[in-house]
Amino acid sequence: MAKILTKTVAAPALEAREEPLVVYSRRRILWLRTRKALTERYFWLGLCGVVAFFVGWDLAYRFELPRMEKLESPLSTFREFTLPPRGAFTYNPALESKWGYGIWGKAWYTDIGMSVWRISQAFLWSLLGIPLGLLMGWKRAIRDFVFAPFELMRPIPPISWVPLAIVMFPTQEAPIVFLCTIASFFAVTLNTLLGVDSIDPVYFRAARCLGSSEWQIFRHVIVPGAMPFIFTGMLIGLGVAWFSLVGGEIIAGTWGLGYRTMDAYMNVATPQLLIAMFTIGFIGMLMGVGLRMLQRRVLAWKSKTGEAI
Amino acid sequence: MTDLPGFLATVEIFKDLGRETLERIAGICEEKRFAKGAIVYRTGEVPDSLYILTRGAVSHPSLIEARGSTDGLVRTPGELFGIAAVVEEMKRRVFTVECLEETVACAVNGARLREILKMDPSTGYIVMQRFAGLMAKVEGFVPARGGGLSIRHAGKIYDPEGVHVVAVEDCSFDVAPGGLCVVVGPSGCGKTTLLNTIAGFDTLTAGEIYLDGRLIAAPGRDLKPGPDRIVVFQHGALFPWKTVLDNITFGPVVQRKMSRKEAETEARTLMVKVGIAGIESQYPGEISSGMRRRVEIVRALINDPMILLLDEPFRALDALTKSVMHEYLLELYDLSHKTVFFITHDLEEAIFLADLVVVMTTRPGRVKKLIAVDLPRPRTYRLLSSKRFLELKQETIEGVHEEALKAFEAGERELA
Repeated sequence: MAKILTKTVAAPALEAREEPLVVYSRRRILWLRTRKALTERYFWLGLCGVVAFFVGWDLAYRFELPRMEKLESPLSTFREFTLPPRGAFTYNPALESKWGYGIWGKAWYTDIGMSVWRISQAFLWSLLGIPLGLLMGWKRAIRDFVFAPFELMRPIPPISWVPLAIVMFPTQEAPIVFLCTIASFFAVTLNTLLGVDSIDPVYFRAARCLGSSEWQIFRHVIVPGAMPFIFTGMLIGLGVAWFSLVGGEIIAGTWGLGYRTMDAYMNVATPQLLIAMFTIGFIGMLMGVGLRMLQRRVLAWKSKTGEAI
Repeated sequence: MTDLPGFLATVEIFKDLGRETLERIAGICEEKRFAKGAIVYRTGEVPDSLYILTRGAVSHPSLIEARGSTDGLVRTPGELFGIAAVVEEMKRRVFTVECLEETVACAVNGARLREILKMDPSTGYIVMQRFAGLMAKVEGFVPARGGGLSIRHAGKIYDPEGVHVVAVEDCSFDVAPGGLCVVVGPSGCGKTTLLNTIAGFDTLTAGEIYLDGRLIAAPGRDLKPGPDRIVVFQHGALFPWKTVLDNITFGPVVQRKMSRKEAETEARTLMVKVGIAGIESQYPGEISSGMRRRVEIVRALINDPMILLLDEPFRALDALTKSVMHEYLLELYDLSHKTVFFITHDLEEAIFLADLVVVMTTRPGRVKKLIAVDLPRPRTYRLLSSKRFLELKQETIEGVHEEALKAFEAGERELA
């Protein structure tokens, strides 16, 4: 009884009117996002697009349209990709893959591993283009000094570097990484330079006005200002690195997805060729998505304001 | 006291306030008695209450000492002392107050008074402005800390590929320390060129410009921009990649004047004072254009510049936001004592803001007319319909219209 009597009733304080803070767990946010995506039109349209692509391919193959009859049907490619090789579990020809190049075979994983390893090395090397591009944009003298030889080298297609790369690098790996780096490096550097050029001069003026030194302008204006273009450069760089990876592997490799396409062609193993190609496409896409996620995080000032990036 | 609201109505600064507001104020009044010789508060103390004298007399001894006059005496009932409590950003008392005889005064809590005034939509803000203006006057006994601008025969000729374009020619005028100078003229009359040379972005080809007697622009001299004269740009130049707080603290941090922490504290205080608190962690792209302008002005003021250069800062704003921004700028001006150099082609804006309106001719840009604006401060929008304002406007229009016509015809010729 006494307890009830002495119980104090909190007056409706000012803080009580504040909205309660709702905190969602990561998992819940993920679920909410997924649920939302499932109700969006773009998701279903995208899905329809993918389905239409495979159906079209299948029909073209079935009706033996010119050129398409040489291909393999998507269904048999898929079987080849997912079924175990002969003798792994059964000896039923209906349930086994012919070439053993797919999720059950070691070769597929080794190829992916090699190619991704090479791409990663090349990509990291080509990131040296970012400081170079920033320096070129920052100091006129550096740009004038570097730009001419740079422009001379840039139009040379990466593939034409192949012989030189093989001569220069005696090992088997280095020429391929070198080729990918060369291709990606120019894209990264030039886009970075473009990014610096795209910064509104008023920001330089404002920074000077507020008393920044040249170095502070570099750090606080040039680097963040060029960042959107740096990301564009990295995305393009990643793409062209894949181009030359396949080129390089075809010529100098013994493993890797590019090498596999060539190998499959030699053996007239069309499903294997298709699997390797789609794998390249898929991994390229994943890397692009990863880079875009990083971009969204780094360029929060852009994505938060609803600007497309 | 029996009729406290009635007494408050006789207080000069509260005139025009409604009965309801006066009653609310009366509700927070607290009568205080002080003995002869008692010190009500001292210089540097944190201000909490405003005092309204009801009986007796007080003085500001240090003020009387400094000025050798009796200006600092408060002896008429209804006179105020301790205004600092009402003005939002005042963190210390300016002058000590001592009672000359036994004194009775109404103490009104400054923060609560502010709240009550804010609740009165029609006249509350005018009273707030009166307080700010009064404070500025009191602080004005401590004169503006320099920032006098002298422009002497300034000239600028652009000469790209041998084509002489005379942007500014033989321009001379002075802006007093703490003065608000507005330059008006048709587009292309060299207003912005002049501002750029003062800021140090551009060099002069003739003449020189001094800031407090220090040469800041002259032909053939590579004089750098600096934080003593800060520009607020036409389209705004907040770094979109920095949050509002990082933008504001940018100046003091890169100049190594304050540590980041100090700068942040200072920035937050300034933001509270100008009513933009709560957007610290947002990016400039997320806030309204009026807000962005305020943030930019705060970013300039935190550097404590000698002179503030504003290049048509409100051009892109809609009429309503613009009028709010004018009053906001004037409020800051009344309190900060910075010299302001303002460019516009809006005549009403020019007269409303300025102490000195400089009318410039069209190309080549020369000073056509200097108009001293003698309208009282603090200024409110009521001034816009006053007789003196209209006279000044007429005078300015006559000067500018002719030039605008010339500029227009020149444009027609160029097109033909």
